[in-house]
Amino acid sequence: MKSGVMFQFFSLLIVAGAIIFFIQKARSGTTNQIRTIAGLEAIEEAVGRATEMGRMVHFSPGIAGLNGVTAAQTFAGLETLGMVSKLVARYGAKIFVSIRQPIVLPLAEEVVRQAYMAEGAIEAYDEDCVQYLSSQQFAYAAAVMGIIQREKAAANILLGGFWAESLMIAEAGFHAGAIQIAGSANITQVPFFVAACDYVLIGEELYAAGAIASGNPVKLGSIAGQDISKLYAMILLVIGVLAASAGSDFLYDLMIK
Amino acid sequence: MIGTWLAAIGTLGLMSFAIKENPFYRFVEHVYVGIGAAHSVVMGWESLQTKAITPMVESADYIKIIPLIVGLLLFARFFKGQMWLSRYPLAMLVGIGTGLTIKGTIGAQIINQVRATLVPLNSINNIIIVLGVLTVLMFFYFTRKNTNPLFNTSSRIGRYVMMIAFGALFGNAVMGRMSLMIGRVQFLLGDWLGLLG
Repeated sequence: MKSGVMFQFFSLLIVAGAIIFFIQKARSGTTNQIRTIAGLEAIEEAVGRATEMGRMVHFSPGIAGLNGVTAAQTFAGLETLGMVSKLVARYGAKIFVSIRQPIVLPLAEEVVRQAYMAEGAIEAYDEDCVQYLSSQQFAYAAAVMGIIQREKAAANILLGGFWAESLMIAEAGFHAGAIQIAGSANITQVPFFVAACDYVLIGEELYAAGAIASGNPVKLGSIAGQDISKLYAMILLVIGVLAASAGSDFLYDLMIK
Repeated sequence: MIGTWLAAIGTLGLMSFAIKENPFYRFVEHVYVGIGAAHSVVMGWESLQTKAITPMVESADYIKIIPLIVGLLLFARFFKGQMWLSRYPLAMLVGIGTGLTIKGTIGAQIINQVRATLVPLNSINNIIIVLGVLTVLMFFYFTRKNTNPLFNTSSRIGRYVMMIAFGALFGNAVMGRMSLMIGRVQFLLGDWLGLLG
């Protein structure tokens, strides 16, 4: 076997094995208890506020696409979009979903349409409520800022992959007086959300929120499986640090085998 | 000359948002979005030409017809009853993308990071590093009850550790944004108005 990747390979087996095991357990009917996520619980309050004020809810699933390492953030955002759209359809509020990646547009449209259908309010579904704005990062940001300000959005929900445009959009929402819920796994952008938004989903909370919002036990099982990978990292860390303190580098060396 | 004037007007228009949303900003915003769309179309067409059409026409590389057909299937969503066809290219995009991502993820995002944290507990810095990583990992442990005191305490410490890190990141990013702002002001005062020596 190729040297330098043995430990990685066995770690992959442990992580993947744990995720598959918990997914199978969830399929067989075991439910996984997930801790509460404040930002997710605030979504109903935000949609309710928008309904009372008669103003729109703005939602962005981020600017990432559907491939690469950041795709998971877009999918988590779209899962949450389903939940937000259901609440919007139930309360009779208005939603506007801004899209940067053309490839995300059909998925977002489908998610919102399905949500309206699930709530029995398909006649209230507006085909223009999901719009592609621009593939250019800052043109997209400029358009979203303008829309949030002109429409005076009552709620601004930003859940997905965001980069330098995060603070620009969050600031526009703040000036419009919107209740803001944001989350991203791009850790460099979370500080801006913490500074400008009411509720923030930090890092992996975004994925957990997506799984909770989908209500899919298999996805919740996947979150439980990922927790095992964190436990694995913690065990490695404790053993390695204790060994290093005692003058042994065996784990350090083992990891590059 | 015209380019400099257009860039200066665009910069001022976008900066005017700092006062409030106004017709000048709206005009520049729409121009920006329009140019962005046009740019995307041109880039898309160029990519199609260089990667598919030219190899097929000049080198008889007909295998390129396969990705071309897969790409065209994306447009099936505009035809009622044929919408299901557009799901295949999407599934391929997501599947191939995810598969490629797995390569290197375990090494870069788990093993290397754990390895970098295997430090002896012989200094305050090292103790902070190890405790910080452990408590932050505890914060992201989701399958637990909200009443678990061990997790609640460690999660709270983990949150404080993250907030300190976010503060440092925020400061860094603000410095970066300030240098961007200085760049634009230099452009306006120097390149456009010629006021800087």
